[in-house]
Amino acid sequence: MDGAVTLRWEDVYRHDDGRLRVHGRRTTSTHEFRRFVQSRVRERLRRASAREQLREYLSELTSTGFAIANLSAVSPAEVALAPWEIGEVLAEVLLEETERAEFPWPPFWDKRSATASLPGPDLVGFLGEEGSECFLFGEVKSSDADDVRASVINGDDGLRRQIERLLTSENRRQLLISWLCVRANGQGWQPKFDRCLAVYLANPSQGAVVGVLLRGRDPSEADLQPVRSAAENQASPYRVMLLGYYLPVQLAELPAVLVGTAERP
Amino acid sequence: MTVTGSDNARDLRGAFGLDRYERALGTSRAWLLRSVLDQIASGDAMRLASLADADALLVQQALLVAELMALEHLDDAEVASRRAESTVLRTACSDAFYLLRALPKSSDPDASRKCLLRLSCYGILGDRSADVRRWLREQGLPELPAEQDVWPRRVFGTVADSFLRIARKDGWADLHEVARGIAELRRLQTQFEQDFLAGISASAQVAALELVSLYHLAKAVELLGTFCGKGTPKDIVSELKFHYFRAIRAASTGGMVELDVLLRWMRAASIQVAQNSIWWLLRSFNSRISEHVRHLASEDVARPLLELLPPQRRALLEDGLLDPAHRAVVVQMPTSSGKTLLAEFRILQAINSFPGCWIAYLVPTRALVNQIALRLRRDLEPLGLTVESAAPVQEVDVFEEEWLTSAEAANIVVTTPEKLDLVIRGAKRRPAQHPLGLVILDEAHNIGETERGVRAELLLAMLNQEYPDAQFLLLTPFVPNGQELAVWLDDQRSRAITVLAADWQPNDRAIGMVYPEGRARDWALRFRTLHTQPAGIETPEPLSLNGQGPALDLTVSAVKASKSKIAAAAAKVLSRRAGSTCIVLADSPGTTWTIADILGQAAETRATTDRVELVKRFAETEIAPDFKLREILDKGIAVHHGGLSPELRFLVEWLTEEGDVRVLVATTTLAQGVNFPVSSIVLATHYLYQPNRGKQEMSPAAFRNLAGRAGRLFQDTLGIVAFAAQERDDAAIEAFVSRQVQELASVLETMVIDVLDRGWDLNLTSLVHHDPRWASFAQYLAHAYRQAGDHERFVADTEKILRATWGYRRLFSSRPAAAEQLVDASRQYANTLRNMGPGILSLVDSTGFSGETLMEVLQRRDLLPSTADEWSPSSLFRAGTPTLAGLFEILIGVRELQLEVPAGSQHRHLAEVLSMWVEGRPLGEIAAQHFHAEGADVTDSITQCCRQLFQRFAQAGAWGLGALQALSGIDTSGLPPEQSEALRSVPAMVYYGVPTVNAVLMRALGVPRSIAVPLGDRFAAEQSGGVGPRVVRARTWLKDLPSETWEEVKPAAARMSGDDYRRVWRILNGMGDR
Repeated sequence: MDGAVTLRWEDVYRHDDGRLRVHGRRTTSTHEFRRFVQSRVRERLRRASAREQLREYLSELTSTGFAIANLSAVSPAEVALAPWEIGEVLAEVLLEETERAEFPWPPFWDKRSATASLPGPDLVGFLGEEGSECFLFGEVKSSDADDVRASVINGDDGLRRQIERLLTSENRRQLLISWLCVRANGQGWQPKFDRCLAVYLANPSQGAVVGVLLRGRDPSEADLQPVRSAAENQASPYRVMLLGYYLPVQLAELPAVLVGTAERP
Repeated sequence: MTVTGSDNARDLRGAFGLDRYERALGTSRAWLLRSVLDQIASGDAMRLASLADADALLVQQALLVAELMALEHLDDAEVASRRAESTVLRTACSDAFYLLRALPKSSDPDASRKCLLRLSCYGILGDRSADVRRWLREQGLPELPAEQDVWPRRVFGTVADSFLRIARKDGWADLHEVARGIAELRRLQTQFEQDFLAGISASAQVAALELVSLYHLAKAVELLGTFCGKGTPKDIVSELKFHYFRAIRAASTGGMVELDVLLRWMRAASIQVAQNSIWWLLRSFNSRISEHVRHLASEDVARPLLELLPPQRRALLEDGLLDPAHRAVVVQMPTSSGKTLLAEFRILQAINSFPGCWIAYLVPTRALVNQIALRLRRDLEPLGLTVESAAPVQEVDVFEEEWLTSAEAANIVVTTPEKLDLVIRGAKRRPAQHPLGLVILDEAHNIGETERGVRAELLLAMLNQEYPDAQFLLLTPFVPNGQELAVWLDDQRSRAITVLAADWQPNDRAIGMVYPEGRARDWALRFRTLHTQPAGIETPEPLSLNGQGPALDLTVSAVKASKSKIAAAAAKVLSRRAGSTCIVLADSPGTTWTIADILGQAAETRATTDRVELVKRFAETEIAPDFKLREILDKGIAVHHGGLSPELRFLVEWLTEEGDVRVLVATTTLAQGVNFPVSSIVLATHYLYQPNRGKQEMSPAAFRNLAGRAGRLFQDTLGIVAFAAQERDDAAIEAFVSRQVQELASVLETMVIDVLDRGWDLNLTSLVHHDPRWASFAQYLAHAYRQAGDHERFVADTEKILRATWGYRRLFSSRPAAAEQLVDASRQYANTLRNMGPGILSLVDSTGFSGETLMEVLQRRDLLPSTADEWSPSSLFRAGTPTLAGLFEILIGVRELQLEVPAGSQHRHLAEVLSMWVEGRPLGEIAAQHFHAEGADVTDSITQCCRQLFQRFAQAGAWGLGALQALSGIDTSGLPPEQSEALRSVPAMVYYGVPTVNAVLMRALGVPRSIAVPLGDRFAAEQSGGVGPRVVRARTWLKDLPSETWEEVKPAAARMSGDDYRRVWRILNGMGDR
């Protein structure tokens, strides 16, 4: 981690009743933000190389008897990342930065495209200091739309529904734990995983759910209100964090920021 | 993985809380029982119980624990099953299976499909494939995605459906559908994939990765389906690993969490499916076995065998069942685990290792002789092997002698130990070019349980000595000291295979008490589970076992007063399980009729079937027109006991297996006899009648064996065993079910200890007079004496001769002084044997009577007919002649025969009964004339008549007459062949109840008695010039005989048509009734 590049945040709204925290933060320095993205986010993205791998996988697909022509057309040499893809990675890095979360496995893209047959949540990792860690499950949404609630908060795929599901579906959380489990073996973070698991098994309510909203617009507490209501109505004992990160650039500029072509004075 | 600092996978449960985990498992198992009882109560076979929210949450949380434990060890699926890691995986997956199955189901097809995939994987990896198959059959498969659904969802849906079909294996239809489904996907790919990809704006790479993953999965599943059906590709595991690796890699790269995890499960389960497949065997074994496998799995077979059960797999592939270096093998497996298949493979191995050898397959009862012979014939005749059965009567008839000594000798002989003893010891031994290659003893635990056990033990000892190259295979349900049996037979080259005795059961079982509760006519049955070993399903509180309203139209006090009524009520309710049969176990034929009556009054007449009508006509013809069985069959009820003829019992079993009998009320003839499983068993009592011992509590081993039949392997998710009880608590029953199976003990050992502990002398000459078991031992010594050929040699070798027995070995290690006394007693007895002389000793071997008995009989020589004419059947069985009565006067005193004559009867009565029997008179007539008691009805007298005839007179009469004939010194060699055969067939005529030699032949092949004479004559007329053993020729002739010929020869008064007779013969010979 590049310890030199951090962001300064200003709280714009905050509510915390011990179980549910709704917290909006804003960072205003565009320059700092660009440096942050170009170092911390870019570094994280380098770990992912699905594009290159897809070409390699296709060469072996002929052994299945299925045709590869259409799929080959999908994997061009270089395609720019979409803003929301960068947003997902950014959210992870910000959570690590501001909430002491840890995400041991490479970032995901949006698996919840309507077309994916077996979608899964965005984030699974750990939260807390050593000795008091627990599992962290989360979802990320990015939107600069005027009506953010219509865009990414409400609706079947919206943040509200996703957080509800994480809070109510034991099945969903267990799937994420299983998924991490098969990756934990021999990894440096395995002891942390084991500690979180021990906590979870002894008391499955020891966990945290986080919903993240990224916007390049002015902050508004109303943005996350539907999600807050949903969380308050759930009797789940889980800790819930609803975090709004308000950025100094619009989301549409993120690809350029990442690459370094969107320099501003 | 370490949790809380330890390497032990158990710590996951510890971290969760072992109590909580066990509670969750208990809840999920109890859910199964509650579901079945709900189904019975509602009449809805698909109904499932629901869990309270708190219970569901606990089960879900425990499921994570089980899954994580299993995930850690998924790579151990290929490790040998006895290793600790493999056990952890199996146990965790088995737990996960129970837990997931109990959770609420989604109605969404996609969610349901994924759930079933996980459930199937857990079940396959947890050795619960049979449960998976049943569950998938019962619940059905979710709908496939619609045509307009997005492409990846269609691909996944089809591939998942294919995998589930492979797990279900509902015959070849499922496998064909797998191939068709995947091929269809390839065909549709071009059309639908492009549209799908074009319609994605973002994350096209992820979508592509998903398809890459799914296509590799499709290929893997396709290959697996092909392997399960045809055994190719031979390197299936490498292929599976190749494709699954790529599927998982693509899913992982694309961050597809759920697919990633699911693929890992499917990979491990697919490899397991391949290894469970019957084709996996081909990798290790010879061509004969390969041929057998191909035959068993073939599409032409009615129920192809595509998969081995876990105990079978382990025995064959891991435990060295077929290793020729293991001369003596004891296989301990629960009932319904597929022992017969293992025996078949061992037979093939033996024939392969010793070309030209023959195999003896030994079973304890006549019914089992027939059943096993049919099964072996069906399975092994296509491989060119011949199977014959020798009637379990203590004499060798002319036809048996023919095929026993023929140059084209049968490869496999199925019979009882006593009969084989006679065949070997008598002059009926096989030619030297047909050495005995393998002896299989089924239900081997009977060695320690019954009086016949000592004969079986001594037979094995004799065979072991005289055939040092012969191999042994003993099949038994679990006994604690199986290894001891193996080592007895061969110190150095033995193997005891205990196949998952403790932790694998073919079905789940709930064992408990059923009792009525309520007031007046407002009452219901309650079922309270009991703690048993191995553990069945237990629930903390009693559950309702109900239909709609009280099961019987009686007050609760009337029901409570009689366990028969309680049993009937329980059976009535339990028989409501869809497609199921309930057995009620009673202590006597009389009680079975009583219970059947109670059930009959409460039941309605059902729509009859062609099969039921056939059996009714059979009963009318062969027994009596007014035999009660006919009425109760109309209501789906039947009885099974020694008061029915063996053929009728077989037909009742056939009706039960076909689903025409919902409640079968039976005595121990069923418990100890034929091995077909049912859905539920109700015990009206656990005290059962044992010959010569009166009513005794069932042994724990016998109970376990019986309970093992509750739950049909591929049909019932849960078997129920219920004891009829009058109150909620019954200490006697609870104590009974918790008794452990005892170590198997030698009857010989018990006999010796018994004598010595009573302070008696171990004087064999005297003991023989008091106890038929000592007579068996005396015969063993007599035979050994004869084999030694020399008195001094016998005396010198006495200890060696005794050491061959299991009893002596056990005595030697537990009570050496007693062992030494046995040696001394045997040496003393040698003097008696010397005085008997070679003539008597030879007769000991050929008759199966002890020397003492023979000497006593010879003192009454004056009663023995001395001319051939007097021995001819026409003379002997003619009504009114005193000869037969005189013979029975002698035989009643012969202790080996144990001819218990009913009080007030005399030897004349016996002679008259048997004369009528041999003459061919219907059973109803014999019963009316000789067994009718004042106040008894027709059914009672017929029951008595059948019991006496089939359980005593026919067997003992045949044996006794054969022995007396031998003693009379008649030389049949100088007689014309027909006359000689007729004379020598006298015992068989008594056994089969027919008066001619040709009729004996027909009866030996299962032809009904009423048509045996004319059909036999017809055969003789048409086949007089034939070559080869008549039994073989007659079987072929009968198979090809058209209905018209049966019709021509049948008796005019018979209620069965010619076609009926033909069908019955086919059924009795396991050929299906058309």
